[in-house]
Amino acid sequence: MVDMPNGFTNRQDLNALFAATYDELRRVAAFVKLRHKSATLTPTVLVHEAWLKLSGSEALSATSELHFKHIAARAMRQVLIDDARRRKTSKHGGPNGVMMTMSLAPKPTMVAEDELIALDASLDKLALMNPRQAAMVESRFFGGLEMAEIAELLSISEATVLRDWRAAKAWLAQEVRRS
Amino acid sequence: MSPVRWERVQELFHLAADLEEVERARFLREACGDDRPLQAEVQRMLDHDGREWLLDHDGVEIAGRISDEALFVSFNEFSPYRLLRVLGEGGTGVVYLAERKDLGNRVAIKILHVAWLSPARRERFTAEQRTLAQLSHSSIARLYDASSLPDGTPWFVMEYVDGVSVTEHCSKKNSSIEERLRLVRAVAEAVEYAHEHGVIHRDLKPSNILVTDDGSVRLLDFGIAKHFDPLGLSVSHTRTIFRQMTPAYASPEQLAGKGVGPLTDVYSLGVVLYELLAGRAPFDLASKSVAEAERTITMCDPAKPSAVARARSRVSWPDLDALCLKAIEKDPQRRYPSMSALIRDINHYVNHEPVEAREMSWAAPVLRAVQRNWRSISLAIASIGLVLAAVFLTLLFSRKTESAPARSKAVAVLPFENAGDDHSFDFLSLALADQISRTLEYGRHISVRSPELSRKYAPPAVDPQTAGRRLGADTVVSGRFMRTGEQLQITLDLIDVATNHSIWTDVFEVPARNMMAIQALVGLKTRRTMAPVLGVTKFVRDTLPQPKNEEAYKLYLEALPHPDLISIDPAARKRVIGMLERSVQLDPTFSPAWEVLSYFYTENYWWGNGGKEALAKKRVAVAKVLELDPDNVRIRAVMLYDAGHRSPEDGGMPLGKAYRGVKDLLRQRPDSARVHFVASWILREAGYWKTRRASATHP
Repeated sequence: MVDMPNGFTNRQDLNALFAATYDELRRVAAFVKLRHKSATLTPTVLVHEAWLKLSGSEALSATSELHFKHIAARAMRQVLIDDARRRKTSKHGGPNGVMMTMSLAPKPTMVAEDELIALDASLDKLALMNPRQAAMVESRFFGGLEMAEIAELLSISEATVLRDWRAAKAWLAQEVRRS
Repeated sequence: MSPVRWERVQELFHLAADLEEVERARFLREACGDDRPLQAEVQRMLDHDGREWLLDHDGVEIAGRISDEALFVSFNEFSPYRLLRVLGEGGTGVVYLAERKDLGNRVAIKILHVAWLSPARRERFTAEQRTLAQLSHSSIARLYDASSLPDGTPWFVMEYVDGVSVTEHCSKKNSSIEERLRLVRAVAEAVEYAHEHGVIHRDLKPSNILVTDDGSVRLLDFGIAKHFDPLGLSVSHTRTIFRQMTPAYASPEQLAGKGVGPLTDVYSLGVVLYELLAGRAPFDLASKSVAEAERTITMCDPAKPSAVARARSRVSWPDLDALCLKAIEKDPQRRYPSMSALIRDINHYVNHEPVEAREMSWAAPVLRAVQRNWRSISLAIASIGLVLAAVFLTLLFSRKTESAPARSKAVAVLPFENAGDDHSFDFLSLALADQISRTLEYGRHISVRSPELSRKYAPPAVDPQTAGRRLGADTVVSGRFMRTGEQLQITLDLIDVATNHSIWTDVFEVPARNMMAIQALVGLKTRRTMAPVLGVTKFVRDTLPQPKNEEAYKLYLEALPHPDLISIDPAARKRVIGMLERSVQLDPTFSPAWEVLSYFYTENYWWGNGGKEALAKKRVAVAKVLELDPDNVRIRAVMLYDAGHRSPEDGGMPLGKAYRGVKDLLRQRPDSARVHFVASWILREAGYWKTRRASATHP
């Protein structure tokens, strides 16, 4: 998808870690939700919990927390997009499914599935135009990384991050709107 | 868009963004010239610049919805039924009104959304439901069907009962005490019938006891509550689920997590009776936390129903009080000994006869208790003596033996079952077990049964409990895997040998063709989530041997299943040695491959025609293992075993020295079966046949 994060020499290591992270994020999300029904999940909380669980593990020994956050952001993107796709299929199928939420109160839908899926596709396009900017959006939106962390991760100045972010955001906005 | 063009777009975008809005259009026209698409692109970006949208939200709102995803089910999953509408929802599940498509009759479908069945348990679940489906009683709602959704969520198809809860019915009709007692008796009779068939309800409460328009009683959800506790969930998880249930009707022994039996149902029905008589439940738990509620139920004595109820005429309260309180005694031994005893006493009351509960309420319980408990009382007296003796002995011996640790838990890892039909993955059966054994062997306070022995108990020929018993294990790790498309689904189960209950389950997916991912994830799961359940929190080493090369690792895995063949078939041995040599050549840092290779060289030396060359190669391999993994006690034990076999001039050592070496190892790793095995062998060689203790540890 994008470049290899530092500390990884082969794709297998990365894939293994990615699989573990994806799994863990899902588990943490479900578990946090079960424990505290009203819990507000933020990417930061999720990623942090996943890091705590996976850190010290063999798979993670090669990576730093910051790099892990980037991988987690990527895993989170996958989790959310998979989720959106599934929702969308079930919605479009008409009265083919039923949402078994913990409470029957309708949940406010703040983000449409379509918008997320379009964002995912646009991000892929952006990655071809400039991988660094795509990584930036991924880390920030899906992983909750601070601008300063992104600067450190990508070894660029914070001013550059802000500048790149602004252009990427504007381009993605019009791209998502157009699709 | 090409990277170069994107650079250009961004440049113009930033330049234009710095300008006043009125100047932007002119600037872009001039800068872009004929390139209209370029101009349009930048203009669109400027239009969206600074506008708040999705990306400004940190993904917060979306993340909150992740967990609901698991609860989405398609209507098609319930074929041949069609869901019509929601009938009700509780903490444990949702009930739908549904219709059978072909026959048109109405049923209720209950989906338990906090319970979850691992693939390994689904069959057992279906079998249990078949038993329940055989319950045929006019007061028990029929169970027609049960199954689980692809994600493991169990669902039930039950008779649809159009009625109201027994409490609601009674208050609506302002039923008399006699009428209320008759309803409870009808329930008790239905439960008694189920008890006779070996089924315990476990979750009797007003919302499960419906009364229809014609005044007849129907009991719902027989045995369903069972699926909340022994589902392979950890204790903390069970607690979470209990929170979803109503503790008000749960018996003290249920809350304490002790065994559940017919008397549990006596208690819960007693609470319902109390509520029907007194107008409220025995304890007010509404404002209490779960922990407080549990304490109240297990510690506090309820008030007499008469003290709570509004006075009613023509009611013999002392009888009712005694009857009701007897049903909800905290100690099961003091309750009605069966449903039929409760029914009998209700009949006594209705027939204006003295109730047994009251007759027994004075001297009788003491006498009965002494009678019933005489054995335990005498045992108790005897055991006080034993305890004293034990304390004395412990004091005596603790001076001699160095801190004698509590006996370690023994665990056996069984070969995995290939639940799919792709036999090219069969090698994983031993490979996964090997990975888990190797990981656990580095754990402290755990004894792992030798893989060479465990591998004989491949499922499904032998069930895990039997295998565990034969291997002398307290806990068995059993697992299965199945390839579906590009994914490999792996299920891990921890089974308590004594109870045959699953104490932990995990299911996850990995890319089927990615051995390294499988290896990393299984190792991770074993260390981080399985080991703590086994009581292992400390490991001898923090990092375990990691394969670094996929091909090398595959060769190692494929070599694993062969050790049984080698002594017989030299050709097979040669082939396997070739595979392993290739493996260590590709990845010289993965010690397990060196270790297995060293065993094969040894075999070659003893049984083949490897001669001195094989021995030399073996020494290199052993040295390699020790260099890479100094904590590997297996190889050190085997070295002593070999050395003991040989004369000193051949690099061997006297048995006495070997014994000292093995004792040293035993001190370091008292839980290692292999070290005990070698110790036993040395003792046997030295003629101390009876002294060896290995048979206990290493069957």
